[in-house]
Amino acid sequence: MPPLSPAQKMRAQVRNWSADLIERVVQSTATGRQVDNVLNISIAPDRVAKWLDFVEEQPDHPFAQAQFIMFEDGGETGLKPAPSEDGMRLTDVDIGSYGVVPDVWKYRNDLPRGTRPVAGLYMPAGYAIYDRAEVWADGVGDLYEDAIRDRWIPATDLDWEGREELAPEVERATGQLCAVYSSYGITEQKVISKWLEDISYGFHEVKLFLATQVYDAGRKAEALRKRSLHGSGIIGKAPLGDVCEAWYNALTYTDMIVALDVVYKSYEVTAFECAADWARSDFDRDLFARLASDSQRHLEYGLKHIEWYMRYAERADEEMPIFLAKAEGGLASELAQSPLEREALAVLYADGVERLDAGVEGLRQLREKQYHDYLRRLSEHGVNRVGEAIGILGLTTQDPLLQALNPAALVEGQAAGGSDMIRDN
Amino acid sequence: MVTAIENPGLNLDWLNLETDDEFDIKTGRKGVTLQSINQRMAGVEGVDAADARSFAPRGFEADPRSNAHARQYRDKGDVWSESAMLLYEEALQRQWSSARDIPWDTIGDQPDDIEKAMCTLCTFLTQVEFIAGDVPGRFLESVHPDFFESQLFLGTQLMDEARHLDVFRKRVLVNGGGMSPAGLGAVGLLAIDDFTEMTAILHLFAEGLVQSLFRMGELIGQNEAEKRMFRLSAQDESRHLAFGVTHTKYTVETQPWRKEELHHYLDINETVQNTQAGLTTNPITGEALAVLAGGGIEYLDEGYNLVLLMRKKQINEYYHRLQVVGLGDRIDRMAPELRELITV
Repeated sequence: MPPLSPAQKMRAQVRNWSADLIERVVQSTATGRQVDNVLNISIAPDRVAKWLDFVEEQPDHPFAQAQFIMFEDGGETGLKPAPSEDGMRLTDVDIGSYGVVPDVWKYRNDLPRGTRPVAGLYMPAGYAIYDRAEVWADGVGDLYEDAIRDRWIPATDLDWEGREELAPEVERATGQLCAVYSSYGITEQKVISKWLEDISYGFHEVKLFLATQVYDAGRKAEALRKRSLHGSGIIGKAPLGDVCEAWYNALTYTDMIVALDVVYKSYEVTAFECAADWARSDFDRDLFARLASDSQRHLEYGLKHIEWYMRYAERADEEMPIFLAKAEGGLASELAQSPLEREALAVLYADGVERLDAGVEGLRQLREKQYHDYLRRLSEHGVNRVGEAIGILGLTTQDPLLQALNPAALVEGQAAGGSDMIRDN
Repeated sequence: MVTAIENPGLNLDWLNLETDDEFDIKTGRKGVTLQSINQRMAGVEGVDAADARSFAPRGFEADPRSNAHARQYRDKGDVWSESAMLLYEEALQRQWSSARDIPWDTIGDQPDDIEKAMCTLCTFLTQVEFIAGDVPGRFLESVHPDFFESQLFLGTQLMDEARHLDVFRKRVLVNGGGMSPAGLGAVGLLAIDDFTEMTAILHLFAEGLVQSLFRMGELIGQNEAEKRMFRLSAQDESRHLAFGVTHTKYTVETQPWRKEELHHYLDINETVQNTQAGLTTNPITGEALAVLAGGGIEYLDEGYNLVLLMRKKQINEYYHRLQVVGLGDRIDRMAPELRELITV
């Protein structure tokens, strides 16, 4: 190889290479790139000499020409993260330059955040989302770690053998309710997973969190299917699914997250948390408390995402009301046209079919709580929907058995009332 | 049977569905599993093709007003694996946490070349592992809910791959070595357009090569943290491979006309892997593996021999999978560079 450059000589001295070793390197068949890369890291001089032995003794060996690209500068070095109370979390290791999440990610391949591509080895792919504002939420890395920390197993963590026997109508109502939410879980899993390939690699925390939601949604579908069948040997009827269509038909990522992780999840979390009131066995209360905890993470991601989006996305002020109205419309259509969930809840609140008026009142109170929780959660994250939310949602707080979408209600019902409801019978 | 209740605003016709007193769920040592509820009207046996193109899972009575969904495979052979239920339950039982289950404090100081080699390998792995999440992510949508167990299993794969991206990123960053420059990665896999193409290329082939490597973690891991990281990841990959093997086997058995199509996927990928993206063949990770296996740059010749052993193991295990799925005849058309490594 040619003589070492002044810079290389200086680095060789810093690495304690003797004059003999430097001379030997110069006389060897090692290439300039090899030597430069070896000098890039600290390797004891006697080990460098042994490497030269190998290069000289076996010049035709495939690895005698090893380039050592791995020693070239990639990302920041020398950082020593410390674990936090919950172990070595993503947020613990993503320090220094690795913790900097760019507003716009500039690589179109699967390059991890914190390094650079090797020249000539860069293959772009078809990712679609490069703006942080489109996917980010504060704390998303911790939500990922929380999901792993809080994992549970329906097959063995639930007390199946000790599950209390319920009266036939109550059992059927429980099974039907589980069937509805299990079916939603299957669709939730499909919807979230199909967006993963659009998200570029600079925002890996988001991809990781979404993977936990896919996993959670599958577990929800599984656990509730088991519960339904465990009680009666049948599953029941499938819901209409208009709420799922709102997730499925979303045209942008944020549109989808608003529909699924904000609007729907807000209603779901409140319903699951209220299982303390409507579930009729300790088993079912335990099951729904676990599901509520999972869904709470998804809701938190959704709310924090819209907070971020409102702060940083262009035209968010114009878009968000549209996203919310579409999502509320899907949910409202489901609540009004798909009677399975509300009827099962009414029977459960009534603890049977003898006192259905009381059951309907329990359901009404749940709808009221869902509606107010929804508005409050949005408000806490900077979005005011009081007086703006689609009318049907407000109407269900007064008449939870509202059956069909009524165009008049869409414009008149924002004050959570009105008389244009269409009911059965 | 419960009789219908007349009540304003309530229909309650779902209360009239016949319950099934013969349905008998055994709570075994593994609890209430998907296998234990796979019976009678809710079971998959005898369901060879899906019904309506809806989101209503098997055993449900669908709402006739529900939207149709065209992007669903309806033939069971397109998506099914006889092991999906078992593997799903196993995945839930064997989840682990990179934050808590890896003894990160065992890494300690190590020579720069060893540290950088491990960081290079793990930069590559953190780069490619979630491609194996993005690709299945595309196909969950296409699994008809009548065969939802395959979908559930793929959901666990997404979770596993997320953890792999995470654990290898943590290894890169935890000991000061930092990211190495990133090579080609695996975005080529995003071109996959069919479920069975995915299992052939991703599971039978690509993940298989990675899993063989992980199983040699005792050789390349320099401390307990790294060995455990590879051990646990190998366990996850084994499930993915098992799914791919059992799905492809099911496809070959039920759709034998697709054998040539499967061969063609592999014809292309064996060539690509051998020239571009192979873990043991691409210069960046190949060199890193040799430094790790040999114990430093001065032992590259020993390292090289061990990398060759790894490669031989990768290809022999790949061939074994081909035999299991009914593609053992592939030996005659396999890329020559791979065929010459087969010792069976």
